[in-house]
Amino acid sequence: MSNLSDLEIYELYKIDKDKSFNLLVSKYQEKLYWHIRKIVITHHNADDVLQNTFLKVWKAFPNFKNESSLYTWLYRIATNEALTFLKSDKTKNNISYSNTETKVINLLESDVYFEGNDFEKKFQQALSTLPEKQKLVFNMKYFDEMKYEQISEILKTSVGGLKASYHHAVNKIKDYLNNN
Amino acid sequence: MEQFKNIKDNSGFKVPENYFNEFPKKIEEIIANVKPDKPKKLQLKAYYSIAAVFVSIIVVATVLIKNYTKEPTQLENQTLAYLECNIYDVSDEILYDVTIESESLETKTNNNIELDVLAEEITEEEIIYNYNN
Repeated sequence: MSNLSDLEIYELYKIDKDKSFNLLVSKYQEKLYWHIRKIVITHHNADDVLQNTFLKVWKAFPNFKNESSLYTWLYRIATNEALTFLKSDKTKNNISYSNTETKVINLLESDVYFEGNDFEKKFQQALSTLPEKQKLVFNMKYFDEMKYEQISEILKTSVGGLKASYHHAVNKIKDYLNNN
Repeated sequence: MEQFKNIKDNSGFKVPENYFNEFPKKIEEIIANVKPDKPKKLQLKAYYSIAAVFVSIIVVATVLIKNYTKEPTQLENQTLAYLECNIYDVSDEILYDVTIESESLETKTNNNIELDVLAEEITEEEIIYNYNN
């Protein structure tokens, strides 16, 4: 893992593009992978989306203005890539909202890199019932332990709106777990 | 939220062994095989266009220099000689025409003056005749 700060990596890019990019990948690959994995569920899909994310980062890095932090910029690209993947997957497989729970269970059971117990499966099912935005906010706040301000920068939503989304998401998950 | 605590640390998701060690190499290979970007393609096009223009300029310049330094052939010499003779004939003709025109103009003018004088004489005679009657 790189010990350089985001600013140092950004400055290094002007001198040595390859080295700077390798440091960026080493520093953020794990964080971005887990962020993506929670959205697309399987390792195979997460691997594809992570590759696309870094490919986009490589192409767009010369235009990065350092106005937002590198961390939020990377998260925004990863989130967009993951959502684009889900959309194209939904269109390809013609999945409606009513059978997303079944879809999640199928994905988890087919993924050799999921070793969760029944409760963890149920938890993922509960997450799959949430609207896209609430699911994202819940993942970022709960799993990635991000601050509302950071999430606000990534999702371009007000902090108040995010707090409301998170609150709704938690209640819905609790209800789902209690009733199933 | 108490029941979520275990999930937070271990949600059941796993990754293949050494995945995070191998991923940077994989992405490095992918990037190495990425086609050149649009600006690079445009840059290449610009280079080719400049080279094409440069070659055209050299070709045109060579043809012009060759034509300029070339000795005229026998046929070209004959043509030039013929053209020169024609130029003299034409200028003689022009000179001749101008002379004819000026001569006739002079004659016309003299005749007009004589007629005017005659007219003046008649008028005086008429005046005297009218006065006497």
